[in-house]
Order: sequence, then structure tokens, then C-alpha cells
Amino acid sequence: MPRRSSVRSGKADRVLPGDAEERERIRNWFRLDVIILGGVILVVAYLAVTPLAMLLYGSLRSGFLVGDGEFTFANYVLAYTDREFYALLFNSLVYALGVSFLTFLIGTALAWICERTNTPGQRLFAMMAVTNYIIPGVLLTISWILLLSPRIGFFNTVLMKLFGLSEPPLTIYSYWGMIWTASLHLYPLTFLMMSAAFRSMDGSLEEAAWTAGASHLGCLRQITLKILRPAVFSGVLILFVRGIESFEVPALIGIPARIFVFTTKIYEAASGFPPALGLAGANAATLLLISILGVYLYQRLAVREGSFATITGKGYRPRVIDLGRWKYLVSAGCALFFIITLLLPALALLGTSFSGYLVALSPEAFKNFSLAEYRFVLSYPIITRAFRNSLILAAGSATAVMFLTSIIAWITVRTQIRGKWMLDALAFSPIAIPGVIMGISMIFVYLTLPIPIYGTLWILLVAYVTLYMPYGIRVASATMLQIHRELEEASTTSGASWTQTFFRIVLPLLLPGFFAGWIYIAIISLRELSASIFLVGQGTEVLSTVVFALWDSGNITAVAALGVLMTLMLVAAALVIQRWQRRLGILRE
Amino acid sequence: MVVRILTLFFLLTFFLFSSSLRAQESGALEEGAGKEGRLNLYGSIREDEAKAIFDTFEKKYPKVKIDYFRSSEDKLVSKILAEAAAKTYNFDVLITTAAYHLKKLGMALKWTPPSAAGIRKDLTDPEGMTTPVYINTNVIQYNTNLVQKADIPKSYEDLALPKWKGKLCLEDTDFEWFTELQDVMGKEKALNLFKKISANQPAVRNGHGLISDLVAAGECPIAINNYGNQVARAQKKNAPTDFVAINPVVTIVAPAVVSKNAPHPNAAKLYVNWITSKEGQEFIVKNGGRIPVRADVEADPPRLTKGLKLRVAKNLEGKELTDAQALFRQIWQGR
Repeated sequence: MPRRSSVRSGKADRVLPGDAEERERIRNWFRLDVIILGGVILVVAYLAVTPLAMLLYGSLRSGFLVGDGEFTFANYVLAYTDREFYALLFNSLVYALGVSFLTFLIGTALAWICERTNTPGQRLFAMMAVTNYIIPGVLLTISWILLLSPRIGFFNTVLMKLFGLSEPPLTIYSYWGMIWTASLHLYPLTFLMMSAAFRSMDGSLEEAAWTAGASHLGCLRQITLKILRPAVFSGVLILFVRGIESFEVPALIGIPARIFVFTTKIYEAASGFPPALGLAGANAATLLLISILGVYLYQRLAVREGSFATITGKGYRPRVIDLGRWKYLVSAGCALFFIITLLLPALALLGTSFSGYLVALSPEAFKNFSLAEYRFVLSYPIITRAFRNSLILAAGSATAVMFLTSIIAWITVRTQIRGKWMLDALAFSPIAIPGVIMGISMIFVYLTLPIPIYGTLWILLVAYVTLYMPYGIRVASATMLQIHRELEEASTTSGASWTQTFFRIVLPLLLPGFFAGWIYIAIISLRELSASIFLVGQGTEVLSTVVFALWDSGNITAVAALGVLMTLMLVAAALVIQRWQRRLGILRE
Repeated sequence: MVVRILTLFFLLTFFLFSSSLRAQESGALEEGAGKEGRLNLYGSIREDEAKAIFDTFEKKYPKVKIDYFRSSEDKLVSKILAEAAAKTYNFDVLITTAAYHLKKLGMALKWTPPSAAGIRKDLTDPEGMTTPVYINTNVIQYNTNLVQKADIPKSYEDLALPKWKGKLCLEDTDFEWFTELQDVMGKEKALNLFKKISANQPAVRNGHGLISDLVAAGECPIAINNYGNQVARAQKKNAPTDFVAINPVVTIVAPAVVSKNAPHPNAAKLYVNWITSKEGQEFIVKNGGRIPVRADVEADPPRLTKGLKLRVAKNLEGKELTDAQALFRQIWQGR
């Protein structure tokens, strides 16, 4: 899209010389515009820069909270000379690599089946494939602990009975357990990315291969995946970053399995007594470096991807592959996959929520039927308060993010302000900040600066807004690009001020995209755990931290009951959104 | 005779006077607490157990509403420290085993509740800044379905037997138990024993309630160490579990500390006075199997303390604590 005229040149174009009134109005318009834009730039810069600056500052000081503070490299020395450090690095890399590959396998296989084949039930499968992303990671992890525990896990008891084993064959407390659980949580991302890639790829090379007599599988391996290589690489890379920054699985499974990764080490150092915040900061800086490197490479790849130009705007859909009789087998395989990964975890939660204490998932678990845990969950003030807090934060962060990013998108798409790319980059930069790091940085910031928001919902809101700004900016820019500037020009020529134009023309046009982004951010805010866990206090508990705390205190039956309620709530919300989206025809990000 | 009558009279007046003084103090507390209307309580007792305690307290003192913040002991102290750094003084009372740290940090109020007179003298704080509320005894917990009668461990040495490989678990913050046993047995002998037990690859988990649930569910047949009261609570729910206490039984005092900067100081004092009174102690025993600190209240079942040699663990602070933590992790978690 051409971006011919800027705000400034637009003014020059239209103002007739001698028309003093008009000039005056434009001057005012221009001034307010500068105030709002300037304000937004300041806010974004503050949000993106202070956490990292203070993280660096905190990691370079001794005795944060305890003892006298002075400038020191001791935290880094301590972190890098700790014999545990290399184990941490190794564990983190193995875990993140495992997650990215397994996630890639599951996501791509499902995407291929749903997009490119004539497998019966593929539409249902496509819907189920994204369901796991809605469910908070902490709940998914807990349900897999219930299923794969060495002695009481459902799979182990079944396998032991079937094959007459004396020892449980599986355990969740291992690398495999961690990778499996995290992959089940993250594969919807690969699924969505690969589905989009499969849908829009150029099919002519495949046609050529088939004509030359290649088999379907051979074609998939040798042609299709090679065409999609840029998408594949960047997908694996971004999942590596997601894996290395994940917290739920390493905390709930890794710690008991004695497999420590960066995120859990940071959490342990920061929350134990005496708190070693400096050491946590030093480890956080290392993790951040890895994450930034990953995101940077991803961006580079994404740019290069354009040069392959295998995904074009041709009005052309790749051919649907007829699997013949195999399609029933594939369909049954998918059904089994979803029974194992969706139905059984849900049943495990449900079974536990109905029994008085932790039991193995078996018919007996349902014999002890009682609704006591639900009564407890619904009557316990902290839990009801957490429901309220979570909803407030989800709505607040979604609104703030979309509002901020709409203005930023307007600036970057519509104006020629110098250095606007920097604004875009600033707003997008928190994508590389893991939640754990955001949590610890917020502590550094608000225990140092005289802004009294520690211990209030505001600190959580600031953390969420910063973390989710990147998602907002992507949606807002994409939407903004679709709106032609004529509409704004029409508004200004009819004498509307900049604010009037923005609020009465631009925002309403942005609304559908705005909504889609709003809902997405609200859902991911509801799931957020890794930053919140550092920041919640009395009165500011959120749902995910309450689940974590209930699990921590061993109150597993209450966790299960709360989990069932949360899952119902989120799935209901997702269904409403889906219907809504269809009606509004919102673009799907 | 005259002397005896006089003494009796004297004692009687003293008793009447002192009890009226006590009544006066608790009357003033109740009035002040009613005006404050709220109590911010930080503690480690599990939510489901705590709720019944609060309901009882609030029924007795309907003007005070308790707001509870639960976390594990170390995290609570760490949290309070951060809140103090942010100058938000939120908590009124902290009740957890690690609460004694607040003394050194200068955040504890020097105050002893009237009802503390009934607390066992070997448990009280000579500085008068912490008030014992309950004690945790360190015992071996096992699952009664999975451990045969003949196999029930009779000593810690039994846990080193190879048959327990992969069947043990341990809580990851039991530093006091770990340190006291070294003092009792001699450091070298204790560490050797621990290493032998550790060769059985115990699952190291966080939270005593969780450990108890895992044992009861059969996920972990034997917990090398857990709190006696957790076993008692599980038994109240008919879970298949029991304990073995090895003398001397390492005992940890969970004290209450009233904050120096408490936003609701009267409510704080009213609560601490109630929870350490005969009535409060009897309730926490009946409700959650807690082990009482008063001489006139008995544990349930009594064998939690009766006939046992309790050894009150010393408080670990500063370097002593960080060293114990490092050694614990090295031995039990191999890191």
C-alpha cells in the first residue's frame, strides 16, 4: 500500500493560503495529535525499556532486599561458576529442543491431515486441535500428572494390568514427561502456522511430482515440506523460544523430577528465603539473551521467507489428496489422539474433583462421589476474588493493549514521522521477554522506583500489557493496512479534528480487528501464570496462581474442581467467540 | 491456720485481680478489633483446613473478617520482605514455621498474649516476640495398603534397604529435620545414612500436605519425613496411612508473629490470643489434627506426642540456613 502523504504533507496539501481560520484549526489539530502521539510513544518506551533496564540494574547489585546494596558482578560470577549452571543450560536446551520438535511433528501432521486430505471428520479435528491452547497450561500439566504418575497414573495402572507388569512402565517425572506435556500445550501454535502455510502454498510443484509418479508420502517429504522449509524453520525456532521460556511444566513436573531449567531456577532463587534476587536476575539475563537470539533469528528467517515467494496470492487452492481407504485409518488415529489428549485429561480432572482425596483414575474414583470440593471452591473467598481479579485484568489488559497498539499502528502505517520503525520495534520487542523475566523485572522496577503499585492489581496490569503489546501490534497493523486512507481524508476535509477522525472514523473501522485482538489477549491473560506468580499478593490473586497455590499446598481435589470450572468457562467463552467471529467475519490471526 | 487462710485469700485476690486484668485486656482488644473489622493473616495452613478455623473465629467475633494469604513458609517471609521494601505494610499476623525470621528483620512486635500462660514452657520464645501456635513433629509416613506390617520401618536405617528403591519421597524444605538429625547422630554418620537412603532415589516434592496426599494415594508408599499432624489429618479423612516416630522426634514450632506495622493490630492480637487459648487449640486439634502447644490440650491421636521424646529444633538463620539448604540439595537432589 502506498503511503504517499504524511500528516505534515497532508496539511500542506490541503491548506489554502490566506485561510487563517483553517490554518488555526489545523494547528490545534496538529498540537493535540502531537500530545497523544507523544504520550503513546512515551508509554510504549517506558513499558518496553524499564523492565529490562531494571533487570540489568538488579542483577548488578548485591543484597537486593537483604543487606546493603552496592554495584557488583558477584551475581554473574556466582551464576556462571555454580556447578548447577551448566546442568541448567543443558536441561533447558534439551527440553526446549524436544518441545519444538515434538510440537512440530504433532502440529504439522494434524495440519496436513486437516488441510490437505479428505479425512472424514477433519473439520471437527481442526477445532479440537486448537482447544488445548485455550486451557491454561497449569491445568493441562496437572491433569497429565494425574494420568502419568508412576504408581497411580491411569496409563500405568492400565498398562500394568494389561501386560502383568510389576513396575510402572511410564513416568511423567522425566524429560519425556516434560516434553510430552509441554508439546501438548503448544502444538496448536504449530497447527495454526502450518495450516496457514499448507492452505496458501503454491501446489504446482506438487502437481509436477505427482505427474512424475511420486507417492503421496514421498511428495510430502520431498516436495511439500521442502517448499515450506522457511515456515518450518521459523516455526521450530519460535517453539524453541516458547519452550525455553515456559514455566508451568518445568515447575510442576521438572522440579520433582530434579530437572531444573532456567525458569524454575529463577523462581526458586527469587521466592525462597533468603531471597536471592540478584542471582535470579543474573540467570534471567542469560535466559533473556537466549530468547532474544531466538526471536532475532526468527525475524531474519521471516524476512528471507519473502524471497522464496512460494506462497503467493494466486486464487488457487492446492489439491486435496485422496487417501483412499487409508482415510478411515487416519481418521481413527486422529480420534484416538484426541481421546488420549483431550478426553482423558478432562476425565482425570473430573474424577479427582468428585473424590474426597487423591485417588487413581478408576471406576472406584467415581464411587466416592461428592460435590464437597465444588462447594468449597465456590464458597472460598480467595477463589471467588481470584475469579474477579482475573476477569478485571483480562478485560483491562486487552483494552489497554488494543488501544495503545491501535494508535501505534496508525502512526506506523499512516504517518511519515521519522523513527516510527523504532516505535514499532519497541512495541514488538517484549515478544522476546519470557513471563518469568517480566515477573522478576517488575519486582526490580517497583521496589526501586517510587511508584507505589507493588502489591496492587496495577503491577499485574502493567506486566500483562507489556507482555501482550507485541500480539496487539500485529493485529492492529494488519487491520490498519486494510483500511484505505480515503476515509480519513474525507473526514478531515469535512472539517473533523484529528481526535474526531481517530475516534469516529478510524476506531470504528478498526473495531472488528480490534475485537479479535481484544479477545485473544483476554484469553491469554486469563492463562498467564509465569509473571503473575512473582507479583500476586493478598487481595490480588488470579485464577492461575490460585490453582498453582492449591496444588502447592497439596489440595489436589480442590485444584481439580476449580480446573473443571475454569475449563468450562474458557471453552464456553471460546465457543461464543467463534460464533461471533463468524458473524462479524473477523480476520483470523 | 491463719497463715494458710491468709495465703489462700491472697492467692484468691491475686487470681481474681489478674483474671479481671486479662478480661479487661481482651475486652479492649475485642473492641479495637471490632473497629478495625479486618485481619490480614499470612500462613501455611491449607485453605480447606484454615477455612473452618476462620469460620469459628468469625462466629465468635463477628465484627472481624479474616483475609487469608497462603503460601509455603519461605515464600511467605520472602513476600513480606518485598512488601516491606515497597513500603506496603499489609500483613497483621504471620503464622508459619519460618516466622521467627521476622525477629531478626526487625518486623516483629514484642507482645505476648494473655493466653500464652497455658503454653508449654519448653516451646515459648524467651524474647517474647513469637507465640507458639502449633508444633510439627517429624515422622516417617507410610501407606498402610502398600507397606506390609512386617515391612514397616523401625528406624531410618531401614529406609536404606534396597527394597524401597523408587518408593520413597521427601519434602524439599525439611532443613530443620535434616540438621537436627546430624546433631543427634553425629554429622558424618547422619550424612552417610542420608546418602544411603538417597540411593533409593526418593522423589523430592514441595509441600507437606502434598507429600501426605501422595502417600495416601499410593503414589509414594513411604515418606522419609513428613509432619505428624498431616498424617493425623489424612486419617481423619479415612485415608490409608499411618506414621512411625523415631526418638528423639525433631519438633518444629510454628509461631505467630504480630507485625510491628500491622494495619489491624488489635484484630491481630485478638486472633493470636484466641488461637492459643484452650478453646482455639482444641478446635485446631479437632479440625485438622494439629498438634497443640498447650499443656492442657491433648493431641489427637494422643500418640502423636505421648511417650515420645520431643526435641525442639533450633532456628536456622543466615549462613547456617544457606549451608543447610545447599547440603540438603546436594544429598537429596544431587545438585
